[in-house]
Amino acid sequence: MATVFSVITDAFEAALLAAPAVVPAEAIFRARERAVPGAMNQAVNIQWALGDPEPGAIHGAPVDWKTTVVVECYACSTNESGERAVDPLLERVYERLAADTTLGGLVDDVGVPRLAAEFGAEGKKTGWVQMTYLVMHQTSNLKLSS
Amino acid sequence: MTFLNAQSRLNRSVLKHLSNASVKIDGIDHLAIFKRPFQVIHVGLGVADSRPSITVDASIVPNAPEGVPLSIDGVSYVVAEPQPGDTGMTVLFLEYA
Repeated sequence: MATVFSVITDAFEAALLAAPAVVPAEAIFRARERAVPGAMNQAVNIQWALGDPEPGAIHGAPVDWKTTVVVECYACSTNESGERAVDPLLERVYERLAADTTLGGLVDDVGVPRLAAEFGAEGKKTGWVQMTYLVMHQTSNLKLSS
Repeated sequence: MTFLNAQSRLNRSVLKHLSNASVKIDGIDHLAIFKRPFQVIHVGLGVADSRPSITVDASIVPNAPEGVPLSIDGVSYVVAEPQPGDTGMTVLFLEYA
């Protein structure tokens, strides 16, 4: 049985894969550990980053969590800057996740993400935007399932 | 023979023997040493890429080389970062155009 953190990350992935997927399915990664392949001009990486419980839950009572899920957008281009290349992908991902902020009723709210960006170039120009979602949800006190 | 003359003659010889590409700048072909090693762009997890560059005789480099288009074996590039030296040869880091 999967923990709620894995299930929530699954739900993020499913939302981004829902037709039409924000990028082709092979370019959506889950907790990728290596550099994004150079052949992909756009890619997304999703990972659970932190689970932060509200202190003071009475034994046996539900626990309120603020769980951090990170969605990273990557885009490369040969004819425009990395900043411009990643912008449409950021917009698609943001709008997709904003369309259902409960992930189908799984969580209370995914909130509005904090954004960070970096840009770089070698042969191609590359843009990267990290979207950090603070997801509000509950578990029962004695288990990590939802 | 002055030092500059000797250096120029040596550079011509180096390019003649070690060049592996012909670079077209303003429609004229020149000898170049072309490299394109694997490189990771360090954003997030990193993105796999390559770092193309050419080493050419400094005398063929335009005055303001950044952004100058050029072609190597039919592939179009622009000069991203010139790195002139004092050896009579210049390294031009390139981006795909």
